[in-house]
Amino acid sequence: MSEDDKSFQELVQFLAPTSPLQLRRGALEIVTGISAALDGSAGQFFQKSDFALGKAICELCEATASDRTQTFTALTNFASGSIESAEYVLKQSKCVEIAYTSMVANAVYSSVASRLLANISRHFPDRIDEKLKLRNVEYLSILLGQIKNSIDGGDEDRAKFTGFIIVNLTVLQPIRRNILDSQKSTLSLICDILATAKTPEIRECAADILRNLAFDDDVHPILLDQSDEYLCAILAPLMDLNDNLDDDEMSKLPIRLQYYDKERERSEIVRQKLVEALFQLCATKHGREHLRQKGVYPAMRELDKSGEAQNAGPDSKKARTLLSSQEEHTLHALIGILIRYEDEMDVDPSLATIRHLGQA
Amino acid sequence: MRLARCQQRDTIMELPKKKYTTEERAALTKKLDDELEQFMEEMAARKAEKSEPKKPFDFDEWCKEIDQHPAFMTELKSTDGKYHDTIEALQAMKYNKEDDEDLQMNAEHHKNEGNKHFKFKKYRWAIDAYTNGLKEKCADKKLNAILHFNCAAAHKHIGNLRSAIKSCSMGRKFDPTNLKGVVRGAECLLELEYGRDALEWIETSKKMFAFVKETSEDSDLNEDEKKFIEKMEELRKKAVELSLLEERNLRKSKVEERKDIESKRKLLDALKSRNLNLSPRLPFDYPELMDNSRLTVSLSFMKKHEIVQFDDENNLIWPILLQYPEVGQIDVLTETCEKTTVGELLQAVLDSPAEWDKEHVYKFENVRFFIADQYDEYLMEVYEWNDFGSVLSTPGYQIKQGLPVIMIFTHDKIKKSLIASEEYENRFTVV
Repeated sequence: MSEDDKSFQELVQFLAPTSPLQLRRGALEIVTGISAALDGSAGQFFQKSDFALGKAICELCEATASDRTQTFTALTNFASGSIESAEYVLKQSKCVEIAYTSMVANAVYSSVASRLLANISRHFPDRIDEKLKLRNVEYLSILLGQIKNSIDGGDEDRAKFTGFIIVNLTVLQPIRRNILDSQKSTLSLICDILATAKTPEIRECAADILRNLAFDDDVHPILLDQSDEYLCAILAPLMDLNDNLDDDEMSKLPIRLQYYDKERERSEIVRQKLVEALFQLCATKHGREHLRQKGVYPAMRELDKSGEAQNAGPDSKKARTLLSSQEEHTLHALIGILIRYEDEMDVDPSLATIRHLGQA
Repeated sequence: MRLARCQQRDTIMELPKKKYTTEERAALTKKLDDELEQFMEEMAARKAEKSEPKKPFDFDEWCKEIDQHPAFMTELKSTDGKYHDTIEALQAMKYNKEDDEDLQMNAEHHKNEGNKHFKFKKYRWAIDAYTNGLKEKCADKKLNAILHFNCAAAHKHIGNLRSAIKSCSMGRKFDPTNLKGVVRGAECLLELEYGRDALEWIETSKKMFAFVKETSEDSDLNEDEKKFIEKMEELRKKAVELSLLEERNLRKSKVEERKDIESKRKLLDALKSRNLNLSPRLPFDYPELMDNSRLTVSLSFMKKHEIVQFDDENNLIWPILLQYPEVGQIDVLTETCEKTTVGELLQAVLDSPAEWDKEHVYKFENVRFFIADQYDEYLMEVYEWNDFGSVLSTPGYQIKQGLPVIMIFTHDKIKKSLIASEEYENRFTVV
């Protein structure tokens, strides 16, 4: 056995729950250091000797609550770059369940736990969904509730990463459907989070989820119903109290957005996602017609103008431009659709969604 | 009792009548007088026997006695947990169990009477009857609630919606499970278009109803309750719509206010930057305090009020008064751009004669133009090449009530009546 192998064996042994605390913590520090490497060596280390290290960390995580901040951190790092490590944690340990429980119970290490789940759910959203569903069928609402509580309690850092888990999960169509089927209370919660969170990352997650929902053409009539909740949620952050809309244009907007008195969303990432969501809604005839009917165009025109004004200003620098080039591109494409009548679209009226255009 | 008295009278009637002579009658009178006298004397003697020394009038004592009288007492005092006799007597009258039943009966009676009036659409009488029922202050909460809610219904019929809401609110305090009345309250609020209040009323009513229902023995909903809860849900939707509208209108008025202040700020900034002397003075740095009437020109012969404003190129457009002092005439020009020169404008104005200027004396070549100083002490000449912007900002000149004044004199008049100042350049006084 080489010197390295020997050291490795020793390191694994020190991670045993029964080893003295000082020793264990020292070993965990080394492990965390190794796990942070981005060159792919972290994953190899985790898998070495038939996942000896991975097994030791997972067992320690399961056995002691006092080491969980460190064990979760190490596992988060390993899982971020290595799909094998993520799968091992998911399949061979109870760490995912423990992470979920600690988040729901609001344990001191719940923030680290949410990072671990966020990383693993990026690789295996379906399997995370299965596992969490076994814990609680309503886990999605519970996690969203956690975010909402953290916003209301003024402690948003706690739930900063919870949103990423849900974003990863909404890659799955059944989960998106689930959000809309839960009598809209879950959707209301997401809309509320987008409107109230102070941390941009949390707003980004909410915008991401709302955008993901718009990818399913068949739910457009549900999203864009008479309540206008979804439309108001994605449109409001794109509007500003200084938008120059005349009374006619104003009266076409959903009533909650008429004479809007707040400032435009500052984060261009959030705005980009919301413009994309509106663009996705244009895939169906229902979506296009609804957006035209609700006077979305003038609001987008003002968003576009605000970008120009900012760019043209004497002290504008590239870093301060309001619209990113990507956002401007999508926005112009969106405006291009909204300013046209349906019969000018050159789309077969019997075509449910323009996503099928290529297949025709 | 009445029957007994009749029998007695019958007995008296049956007494045989004795006829008295005058002497007998006099003797009888004397006897009776003597007996009375004797009785009086005996009574006086008796009183003298057990006579107590007469108490002198004590004001304090008297005050105490008066204070203990329920009609005059200002606070309720008890000695050894017992109140004064008179108070206890009153309490007995008020809270006696038998009386309670009476009160309830009376209240019920008033309610029925009110319902009768209600049926015949005598809503004011119905309100009086229900109010009288409430004045009974009976202990039955449900009955009191019904009286309040019925009162609300009557108020609602005659359009007293606010009174109806007050009654509903009182009724709900007595009985939150009376959903019919609660729904009536919501309807009144919605009729008054108080969306947010209606929403709050419905939400709190639901909570109160749920609480009472959960804590009562019979927690199942009956058919009526289900019906009213459905109705309440319908009203809730209306209330949400209305409150959204209310919020929209509130935002709209805020936007309008903001725009108004913005336009005032723009105008004030423009006036300030032009160094104009204006009377009355304007709050240049506080547009929110600006009152447009300080600049508005309203003259009886003008069709509408005029005020200085901007054109598309952000130049100021003024209303201007032209005075012809020799003939006592005036002209008003409503839209004069500050960039226009005096000559440009007045040449056009004086090109054709006014009605009163039959001989066309006021030709452009025939006249000169002047403005008066702030205190009307002297005149300053303005020339055809001056633009109005510079004329208005001439030192010493003041724009009064938003209307700049330019005087037009003929050469003749100038020769006769205007004297140029020797001391100052471009100053003239009128002789």
